[in-house]
Amino acid sequence: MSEWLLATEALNKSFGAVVASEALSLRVRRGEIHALIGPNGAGKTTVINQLAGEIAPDSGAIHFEERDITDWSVDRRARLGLARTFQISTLFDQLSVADNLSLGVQPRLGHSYRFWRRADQDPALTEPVRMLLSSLELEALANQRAGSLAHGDRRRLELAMALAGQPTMLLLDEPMAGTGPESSRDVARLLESLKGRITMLLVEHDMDVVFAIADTVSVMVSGRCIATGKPDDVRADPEVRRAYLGENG
Amino acid sequence: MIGPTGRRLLVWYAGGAALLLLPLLADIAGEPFMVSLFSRILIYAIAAVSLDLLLGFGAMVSLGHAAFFGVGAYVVAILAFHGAEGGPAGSGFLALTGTNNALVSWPLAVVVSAMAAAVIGALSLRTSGVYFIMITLAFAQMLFYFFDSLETYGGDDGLSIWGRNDLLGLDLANDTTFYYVCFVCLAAFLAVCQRLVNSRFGMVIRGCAQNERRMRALGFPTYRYKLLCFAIAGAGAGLAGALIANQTEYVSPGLLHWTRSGELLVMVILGGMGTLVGPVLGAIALLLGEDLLAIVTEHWQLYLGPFLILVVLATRRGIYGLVVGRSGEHE
Amino acid sequence: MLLLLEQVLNGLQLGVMLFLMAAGLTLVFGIMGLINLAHGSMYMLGAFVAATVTQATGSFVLGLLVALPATALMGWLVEVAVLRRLYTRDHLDQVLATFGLILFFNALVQIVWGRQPLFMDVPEALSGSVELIPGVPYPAFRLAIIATGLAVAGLLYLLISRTRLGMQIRASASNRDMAEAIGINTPLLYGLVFALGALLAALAGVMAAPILAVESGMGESILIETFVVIVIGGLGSIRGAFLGALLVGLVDTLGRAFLPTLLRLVLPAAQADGTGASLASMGIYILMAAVLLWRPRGLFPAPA
Repeated sequence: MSEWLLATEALNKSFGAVVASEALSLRVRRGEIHALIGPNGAGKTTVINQLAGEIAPDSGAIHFEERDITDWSVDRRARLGLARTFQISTLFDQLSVADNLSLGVQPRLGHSYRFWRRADQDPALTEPVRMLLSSLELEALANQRAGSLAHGDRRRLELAMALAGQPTMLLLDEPMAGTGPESSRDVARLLESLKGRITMLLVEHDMDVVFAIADTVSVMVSGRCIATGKPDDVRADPEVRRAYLGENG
Repeated sequence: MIGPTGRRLLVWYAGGAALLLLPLLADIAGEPFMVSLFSRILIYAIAAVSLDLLLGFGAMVSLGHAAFFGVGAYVVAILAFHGAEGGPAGSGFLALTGTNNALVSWPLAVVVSAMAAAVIGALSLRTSGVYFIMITLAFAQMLFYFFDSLETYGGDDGLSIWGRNDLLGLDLANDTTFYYVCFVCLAAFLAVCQRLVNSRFGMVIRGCAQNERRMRALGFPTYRYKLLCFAIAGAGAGLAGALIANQTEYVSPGLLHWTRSGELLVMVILGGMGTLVGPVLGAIALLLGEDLLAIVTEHWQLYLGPFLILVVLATRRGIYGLVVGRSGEHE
Repeated sequence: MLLLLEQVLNGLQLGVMLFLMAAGLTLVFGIMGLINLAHGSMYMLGAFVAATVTQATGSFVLGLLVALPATALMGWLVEVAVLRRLYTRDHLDQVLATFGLILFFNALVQIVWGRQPLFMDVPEALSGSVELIPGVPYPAFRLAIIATGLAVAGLLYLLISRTRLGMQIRASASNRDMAEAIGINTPLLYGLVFALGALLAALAGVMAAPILAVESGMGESILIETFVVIVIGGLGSIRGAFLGALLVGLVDTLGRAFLPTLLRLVLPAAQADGTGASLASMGIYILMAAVLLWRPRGLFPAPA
């Protein structure tokens, strides 16, 4: 099991009559970028939500770092090193960018039952925040309120938040959503630079990005995984072509 | 025009100076009752500030905060009762001998209120939204009925205590001395809260208020932090309760009544949520306003009602926001 | 045994009144997302109007017939003038505004009717007792309350499940956004639901008036008990309101009646009475806490 950082076993989830996940068995190798693609409604975000712990599967198991985390709460999984980004940027709009990141950094430093010292003058927080600001090119925006940022900057902050806790694995839910081509390239380059250090499960619609940076691609259709393997193999798979081209064609 | 930061400092310092000099001013104006009135105002200000921690910073709309105010008051009153005419409660080594020593009963009031808040918070924080509001209201009412049922301590009629507590030999019966004790307590509590909201813990609470989903995704066990905040707020209210028991030398279940919780809520909103000093302004405004309005008409509540509605419908910046000129958020 | 039966009936009577209050409140919350603290004021207004008309005309029926539409109208006015602006606001704003309404109505009642409580007689026809079981007399009026409450519950059930209005109500309660999208959440529907809630509260007030004192502030204690019912039953659920109300009514009444006696089995008399009374007064809240531990969103929560 140790080559797989994250593995699901026969994950099933239905919402009434709608089957969102059916006997889903995903395997994500340590250090890889694993892309999850499929038509709209295939159930990709539901998978992310189950992996993150926001939705409980009807049956099946999830293993991370060789632990069975199926019943674990969202925050417990995050503390173990499983971070996520949201499809719609989920930030602290009233706080500055720096304060947002400060909160992102705090859990890694242990508990936050510290009541006296100002958080914004605490080097244990300000140092990592400074490094994050610089590596994600957000320095200029450090004191700006997150709520007033442009869309592309919000997506970058969203990513920075997930990285702040120095996770072992990142669940990325359409990080390029709504960003222009240049920003997408920047994000793609950033993700690629993290390869090897951080394992990533990437849900994305932008096929150019997916086939450029992904090590493994899994294709989901109607809650089932119909193909998984190296990008070129998946691209050539007839069933995949039918799912994307035939049915949509 | 002075900028926002300047105005903020003006409010803090000018307001602080005015309150510090109040007994002198009252003396000059020949209105000594002002000292006792403002003692009451400062005490309610402490309770309102503690509620602001929950409401303004944690976005926890508690409609039962007066319960902890009342608990603190009753702890002091019950201890005083047993220290005097009531005689020890219980028997043997479990006997509660009671005390009139503030250094014992005030911290105890704070601790018991915090514990009550911890228990109620533990149950209430499992819910959110409207459920949370109603549940905090319900539990506070439960405590109201509990104290109401305690015949030994006066029940519905309440409990009088004869004379104020003994604090380090100070003569608390002297209204001016007592006023300054309240002033020091308020100032100290404000200072503590100021540090608290800017600390790591404070950041976590503010994060939970703005986006709890994100907080959990970052790895924070939000329930525990919110619960601690709830208990700390309860402790603050308990301190205020200890002081009010001394101020009026009388406690009754009415201190826990939910309309009292509503008043605290109004003080926080009126003064400016999430500013810490706003609730102080709100307490001054509401209590002074009630007194003044009551002179004009005995049906002041008829006017206070629609006034509240209008304030809510129009703006929620509060007095502090109006003076300082921003959305009243804490910096 | 006979005492038990009597207390069970008393519990049912309280439960039925709580149901009348809870039904309106839970509907308003479920459909309009509004937490309405002023609901108790409708109860109070119903009692005051009925007491006044009854005293003036000597007819309970007339009092009832005037109080219900008068309060429903007042409820509708309040909805149009104030509450309508609160639907999109957050709960804190709603709490504050409706708290302001409570203060307003309490003061208004004092101005119009004075500070002294009003008293209302039980109607002649129902002032006697009925022997349900030979040898067990029970006040006819209280039985009438139970019967009325159950009848209203039945009518409400028919309204909600069999009529078009009921369908709209159900749709709105289960998915407000969708209902808005397909256009059934008209201001008219909201006004109707609110007026219906006010009417039910007024009915409870009218029935309570002969038993309790009719005075300013009488709405508050029953309001909080109503909140307990709704929390237990689940917001937005009439079924939950019914079950919750009966549960709360029974627990409260039976607790107060029998807890001190039960405690006498294990404690000395004086202590048993005191502790019993204290525990009984907290009874329904302890019940609420227990339900919450088991089901944080009540017995019949609306789908998320």
